[in-house]
Amino acid sequence: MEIRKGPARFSLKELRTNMIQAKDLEVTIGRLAMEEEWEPQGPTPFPGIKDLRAWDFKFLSRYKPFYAPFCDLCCLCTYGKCDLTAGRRGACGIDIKTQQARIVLLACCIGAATHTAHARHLLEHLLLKYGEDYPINLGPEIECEMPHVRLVCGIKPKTLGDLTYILDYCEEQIVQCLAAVHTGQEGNYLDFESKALHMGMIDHVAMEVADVEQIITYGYPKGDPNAPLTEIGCGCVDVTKPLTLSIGHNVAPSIEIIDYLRKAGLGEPGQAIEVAGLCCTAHDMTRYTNQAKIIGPMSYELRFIRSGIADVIVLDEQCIRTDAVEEAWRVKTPVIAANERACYGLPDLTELPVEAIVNKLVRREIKGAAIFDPEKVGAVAVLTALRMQPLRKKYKAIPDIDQIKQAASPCTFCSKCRRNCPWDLPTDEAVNAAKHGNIEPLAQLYDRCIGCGRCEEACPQHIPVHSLIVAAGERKFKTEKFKVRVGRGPILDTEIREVGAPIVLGEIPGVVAYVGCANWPTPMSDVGRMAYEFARRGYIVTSTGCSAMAIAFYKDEEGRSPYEVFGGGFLRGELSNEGSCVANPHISDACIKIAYIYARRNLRGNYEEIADYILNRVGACGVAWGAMSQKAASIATGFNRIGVPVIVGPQGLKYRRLYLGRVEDEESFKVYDARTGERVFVGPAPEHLVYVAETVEECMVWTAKLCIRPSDTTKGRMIKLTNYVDLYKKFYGKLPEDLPMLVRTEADIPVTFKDEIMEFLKAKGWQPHPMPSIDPTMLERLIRVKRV
Amino acid sequence: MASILPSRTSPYETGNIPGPQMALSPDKAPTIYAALTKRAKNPLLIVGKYVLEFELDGKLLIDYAIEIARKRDMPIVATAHTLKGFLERNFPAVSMGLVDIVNRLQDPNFTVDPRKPPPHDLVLFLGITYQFASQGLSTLKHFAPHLKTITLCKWYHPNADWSFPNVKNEEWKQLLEAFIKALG
Repeated sequence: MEIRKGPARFSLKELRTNMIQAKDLEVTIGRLAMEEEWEPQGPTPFPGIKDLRAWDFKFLSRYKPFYAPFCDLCCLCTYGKCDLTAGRRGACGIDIKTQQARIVLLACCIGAATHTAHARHLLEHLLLKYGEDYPINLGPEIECEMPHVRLVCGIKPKTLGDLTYILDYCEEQIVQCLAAVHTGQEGNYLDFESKALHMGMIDHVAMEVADVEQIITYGYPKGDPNAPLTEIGCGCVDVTKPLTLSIGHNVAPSIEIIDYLRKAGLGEPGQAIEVAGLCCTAHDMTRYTNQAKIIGPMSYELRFIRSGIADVIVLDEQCIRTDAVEEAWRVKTPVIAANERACYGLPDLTELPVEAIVNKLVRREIKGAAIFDPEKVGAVAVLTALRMQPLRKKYKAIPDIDQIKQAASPCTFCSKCRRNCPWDLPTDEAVNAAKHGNIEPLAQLYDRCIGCGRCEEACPQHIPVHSLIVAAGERKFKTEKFKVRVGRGPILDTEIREVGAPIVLGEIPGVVAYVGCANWPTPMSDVGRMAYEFARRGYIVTSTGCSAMAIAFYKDEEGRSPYEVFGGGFLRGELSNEGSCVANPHISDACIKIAYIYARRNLRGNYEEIADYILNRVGACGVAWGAMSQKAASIATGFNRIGVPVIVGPQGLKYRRLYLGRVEDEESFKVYDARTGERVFVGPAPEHLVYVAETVEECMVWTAKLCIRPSDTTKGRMIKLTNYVDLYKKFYGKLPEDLPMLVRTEADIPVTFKDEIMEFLKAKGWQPHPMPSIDPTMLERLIRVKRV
Repeated sequence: MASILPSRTSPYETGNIPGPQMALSPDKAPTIYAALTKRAKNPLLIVGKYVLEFELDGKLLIDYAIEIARKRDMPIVATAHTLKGFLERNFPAVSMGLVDIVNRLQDPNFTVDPRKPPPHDLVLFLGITYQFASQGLSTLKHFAPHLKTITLCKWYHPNADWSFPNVKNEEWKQLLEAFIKALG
């Protein structure tokens, strides 16, 4: 018997030594609680970098990396800067293509590391609070509780303590992949891509850990399709009350704020004190109590800080403006940095008594304090807000409407603000109009502005352009209030049983996930417009993070938010909010569970087979319309590795890499029919794995198209084509040119367009596909009857 | 602080400085670009969403695009959802997403127009979201050595081979009209 490393388990029927005599002895190394044999172990438990490389290369031969260099230089080592333009190599020998892949891997490492560190930090806090034996129980309707962990790691964790081993694995993989980025290490772009895919997969595992640990301990909804509605928007807080504002993603200190309120007899959030949040931590606060308030996505940070409404700001981690402390200081709001990964230069006052810290903050002796004890953060935040509110009187940095003209008066119309705006918004024209007394153009920018503040940085006259936009939109800012569904968490096994078959057969036209950040090319309500349209068409629509918030900002003709119109289930024509960024794997988990529950495929350490299943059968598509962060890069790449295509908005091309198919290369779109072993052309299904759309219209057409799969039945393909053709005709004005590849038999043709499509196909010389119905797979080993 | 680069020919988005190789933007751009277009064996015009949104003195950008294409019997690839505008004008544009066409243009054996042998040796961009176009041009700069790129937008695009400078609408209109006139 050879044991290379733990964890491992073996049993001895009989052991006799001079000292010991034992029968049926079971020995466990490396872990206290070992796995039960709940399923045969698959080929790749705890995969390392190389273990899924063959699978990656297989699908990268269809979805070839497409690179759009964001910078022609490499400046990562002292040889540089090296000019890699158009085929030149750097001092280390790297070329521009490989360099792009390297940077993509770096982004994915950052994304995966961020979620893993988040999960680890929260886990350590929760282990202290709840103990390592705290059971993982997601309720009676979720038996398959951590599909990604089962699939990737091949284990079934039972307690909070078990999650430690999973994070150990994630951390090791991140270190391995990050090491590959070093100068003179990996040297092939496909291998960099394989590692980026590996990081994407690890990211989904880490996020799953992060979300499950908080669901089970904080009592969040456990997949509740009827999770309550709560309020979102600046207008949902009572500005006459003291207000704590949490920004970030790691909810532990915010939970302690709520707990402290309760312990101190101050009631629920919203009674004596408003407890509000920005970005994902706000989602997670409302999962704890829907009396907490969501101000909005990341794009609302600057405007809300400057509004002066917050009496104390708690920063936890991720997607926080790095000038938050300076901005808060301008409006006399003290800041608490609650996470060692985001200290903001503030003094560590963790060891001081609560009252002493509060005194320092209230007397403005310091701009803020770092406090690395979440419980203490809760107490300090509440007490500081109570004492600051009467002193600050909601002091703000945003001018009143009647001050706008004066503030705009130095404008020379140089247009530098506009040229520094990521979206080329006409800030120059708007400020110049305000200078002449017309603030309407500024007000019109309110919905389009992503709140980055770059316009102000560029202005040689130091005009506070962003503040003027917010001031001009003040009425909207102060009153906007929408309804969002509280993050429900995982998808129920019972829901998968209901929708598994119709998804695989195509009779539910697809699962669309609106995910990601707030770098939106159009008003954020467009995310809601798209979600509304696809829910209305009978797709299963899911959402997370800033996109889940954006959906709430859309109102239908009756003034209802999409969350008020559609149910919150993972069901046909419903719209769910899974929660914060770390709730993303519940969406990929739903795809995995379709393979597990509906198709009865084994999950345990069986990644390749399940990814192959999802790519060929589960018509799911992610949409990250405002993708911005490295986390979004790794999340999307994780979706890709499990077989789910993703569409990003136009800024998404700055991630430098897409995975694009070329359907005219028919060989690359052939799969095996597992029943016969024959190679069959399946058409563009799906055509790409990462695609960029320039407009909402293009995005909607591609969303429908990327839900098409080889496994669709004729009825399913007909339903999917009905949506695709209908959207294409509506926005593009004709029938799509790729119909001959997507229509396999006459029975696939949508009834409503039958005559028109038949005529079109006839003109194109279309012939029915020789094998319209197959059991598709890209894995040779899954062929049941080998051809001789 | 003074800017080192002249405003007209510095990247339109201030921070979009890709590297040492940036677009040429000659004084007589319309004449030179017209000469390059006339000399090209298989030129291609790619247009984006702004062709349906931008007007210059009441004339939509899409009408400029069609005029340019007709002058040289040049195919147009209508990206995003712009195909509808061409259909309304009875112009036979090819619909394709920007990344799809740019991806194919890396291939020297690809041509949009089956009447002309590949490759496309000159690609003109018009009306595409600035940063999206910038990234597409970057791909062509690095991976399509068989072609040259010209942008006809009102922004200086560093990743193109040839670009108009940063101009206001009035001057842009003049540049486009001069270009069309010079096409013959």
